[in-house]
Amino acid sequence: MDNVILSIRDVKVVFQDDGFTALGGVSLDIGQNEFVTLLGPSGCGKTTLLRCIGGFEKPTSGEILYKGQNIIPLPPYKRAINTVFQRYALFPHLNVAQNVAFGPDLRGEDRKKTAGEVSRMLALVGLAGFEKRKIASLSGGQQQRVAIARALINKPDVLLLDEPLGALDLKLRREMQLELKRIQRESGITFIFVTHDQEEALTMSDRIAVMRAGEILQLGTPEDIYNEPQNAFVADFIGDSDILSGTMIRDGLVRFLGCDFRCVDSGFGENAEVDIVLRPEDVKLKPADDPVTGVPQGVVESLLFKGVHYEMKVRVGESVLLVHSTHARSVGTPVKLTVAPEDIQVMHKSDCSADVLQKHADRAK
Amino acid sequence: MKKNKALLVPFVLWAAIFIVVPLLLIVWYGVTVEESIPYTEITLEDGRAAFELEDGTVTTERPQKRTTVSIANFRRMLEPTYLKLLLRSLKIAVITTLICLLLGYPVALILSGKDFRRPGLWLMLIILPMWMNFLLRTYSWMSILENSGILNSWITSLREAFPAFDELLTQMGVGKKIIFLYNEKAVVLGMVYNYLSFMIMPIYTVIEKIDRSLLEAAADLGASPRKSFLRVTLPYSLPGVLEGVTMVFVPAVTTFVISQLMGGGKVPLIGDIIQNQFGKSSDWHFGSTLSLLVMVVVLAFMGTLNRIDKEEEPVKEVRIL
Amino acid sequence: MKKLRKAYIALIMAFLYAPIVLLILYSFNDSKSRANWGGFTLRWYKELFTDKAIMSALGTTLSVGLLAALISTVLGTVGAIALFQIHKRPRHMLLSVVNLPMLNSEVVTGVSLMLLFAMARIQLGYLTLLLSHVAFCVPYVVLSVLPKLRQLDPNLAEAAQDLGATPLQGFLRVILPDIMPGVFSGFIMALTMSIDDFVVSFFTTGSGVSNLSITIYTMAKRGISPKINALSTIIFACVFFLLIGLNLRDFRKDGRNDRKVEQVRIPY
Repeated sequence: MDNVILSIRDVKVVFQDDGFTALGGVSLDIGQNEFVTLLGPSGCGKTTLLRCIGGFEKPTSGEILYKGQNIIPLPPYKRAINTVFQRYALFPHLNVAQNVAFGPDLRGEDRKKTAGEVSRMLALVGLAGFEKRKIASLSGGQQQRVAIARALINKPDVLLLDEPLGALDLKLRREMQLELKRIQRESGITFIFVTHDQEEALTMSDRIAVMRAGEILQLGTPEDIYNEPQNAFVADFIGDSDILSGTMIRDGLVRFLGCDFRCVDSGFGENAEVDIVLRPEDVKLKPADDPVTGVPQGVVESLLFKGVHYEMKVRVGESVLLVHSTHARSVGTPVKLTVAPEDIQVMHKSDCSADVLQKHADRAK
Repeated sequence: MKKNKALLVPFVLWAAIFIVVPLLLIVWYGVTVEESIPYTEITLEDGRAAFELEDGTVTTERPQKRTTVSIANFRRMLEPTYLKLLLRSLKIAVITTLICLLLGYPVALILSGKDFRRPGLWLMLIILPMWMNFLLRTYSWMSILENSGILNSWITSLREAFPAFDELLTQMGVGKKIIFLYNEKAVVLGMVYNYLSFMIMPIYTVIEKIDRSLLEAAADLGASPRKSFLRVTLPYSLPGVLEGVTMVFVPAVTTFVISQLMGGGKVPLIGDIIQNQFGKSSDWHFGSTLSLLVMVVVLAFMGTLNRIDKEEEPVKEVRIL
Repeated sequence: MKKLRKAYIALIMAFLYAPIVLLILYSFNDSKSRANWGGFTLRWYKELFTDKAIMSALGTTLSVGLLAALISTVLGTVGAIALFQIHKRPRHMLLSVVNLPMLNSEVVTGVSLMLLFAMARIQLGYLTLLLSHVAFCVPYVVLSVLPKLRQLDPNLAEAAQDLGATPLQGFLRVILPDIMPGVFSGFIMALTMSIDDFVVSFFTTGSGVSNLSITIYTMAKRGISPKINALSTIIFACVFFLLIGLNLRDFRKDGRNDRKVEQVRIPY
């Protein structure tokens, strides 16, 4: 990447009081005008990383380069980076306009000019005319927008957003996702967005960093992350999936569920233990009398109507697979399962394989 | 960014100097006595006067008093005189607290009733008397109750106006002047008067916060008003009652002014004795021992009462500066 | 039933206000004796302002009250903030220490402070009186500021700094305005406690410095001058009309007013 604005280099955070390692050496380059999402379950270190960038947490070691300069020694108020906090942190004793004008006023900028800026910012976030309103009289979504306007008015190069949609209901959330994406495009600001909602991450991001236990497990575009997860954890965290243990017999041939499958992966060596991820929509069900041979056979155990598709659980021996299909099969129907070679994602075993496989095995009970 | 723990320094210093050290001083004074050092006066060979101590040391300076650790004051404290005083203080405090509870709870309940208009105004009126010096108010009670006071003069006029009433009183053995003051009842009256608001406020605050839908739910489920009071209001108001009881009991058990005014010195309480030790009798050591006793009684009382501590705490420490 | 309730409240009010009404009446009584009514007069009000002892006691009460309230508000607010920022365990420990003077009886507080000044060899007088009042006022301020801090959005200070405020600017512009109601009610509480205090003052003043409480206590033994009644009437009237004036609008708007109750709530 040649337009890197923020470069995080081997940042470690160990909390002094309890010795907990929140970040275990994270490196990440973020480009100008990029929308990068830090995605992971709670406690994965995503908020800690964001706080390091904002200046609210001091890394134990490592560097954070902003336009090539290490900003770790700088206090938050000297960084050209602004934050939208999880619960917005609007100043309750100030009205909407005063909240937005907080930054410019501190810098002693011309009041009239600021007033104009404030109105422009409020218009940008869809709150034109809200200047005199009290914070307490705003809805969650409106407060959210004020928080964004308050940050954007300072023309930061980088905007940090800490789960800013977490407190909103589903519908508003969807709206705000689009809104944020629009604001980011129009303002040309780099967004670093923290969330634990994989769907949100997939919708909005240019790139996603999936984090777990203080480390980045995979960094890539939403398509990469969804289609080619690099390990069982990522596969499990992003979208619905069936994760199985398998053996890579040789390049292009993998064995799982007691059968051999052709696949497109290679380079794992011969007879290597691997994890397999299948997306439920990629598993095709055929009637038991279908002539196809050498495929697993199972029985439909449950059937749920999900609107656009049916969700079925199919038992194959000890395992239960999640299958999405537009064609319903009644409970108890014997079926054969097929998967196209390009739909089989083979992954190296990792330290979280056992946990994830256990979780998927538990579904079978 | 480092946390601003420097702010803690002046505060901890203040707490140490004005809370911890004074209390330790009470403990120290409480467990020590001042005694004169026994000696015999002798004359040295050169004719100078000298003093021989018990251990044989000879000094030319007259030995000063010394402070020694002793439980003598604790023994003295357990003498019947002082135990009686303590028991009387406790008795009066308990009676006062109960009366305040009986008088105050209905007030809080009525004020928090949903059809009671402007409860805030009435609450303010209940607190307002506190802005007039409590000594003055107590003193004012004295002028109502004293032998030549208002109450007695009203009764006298009534007697003159209605001979039958006079006769009735005479038959009941009531003298020309009724003695209201200078007994335990008068002290209790003075305390109830001074501490009643302390009982009403916390109870009201708690009852007022009880979710009305709880009462409605109780009524919906078939509870009579009496039952929903017993099952909902009363248990939910308990924290307020506990706070009120504490706020009345603690000053009641240790006061020394009200007992002096309303009791006219005839109903001394433990507080009066402590005051005496630091005033006329000037035995700070014994005074401290008694203070320790009072402290232990109060803390033990509160310890048993305030088991239910409901402090809302933030999940983790938060930085502000 | 409703009438019964009203009658009960009226009865309690009569009990609370009987001595006060009487006091006010006496302040207009043209007779030194409390027993008889010597006709209406404003004499005591006139003489009041030329009575040096009472005026100086009033001065002491007011100046100690205001100073003690001011100092303890600053100290208590700083303390509450400091307490709020440390770990749970030391915070609980410190809080219990700070609460001690409130749990302890006034007598013990007074006596212990007297011993402190004796040990430090500080002559009892105005300074010791002021220090003592600060000592017992601070906990009330801490206790009224802490809940406000708990309600604070934990990211507020960070948000201010994020927008370019130095820690001090952030405190002055964001945190302080937000906790101001707590700070203010702490101040009022401290002022009330200080003005009303007798017991602690009794043990910690000397060298002829006396406030109103002590003056009244001394007088009570040989009879209280009607001038004191006049002064109390003035103070009471001021507070009465101030509070009524301030709150009448609120009372009209909605009968219940929690905030006011909390503000004027005075633990002993």
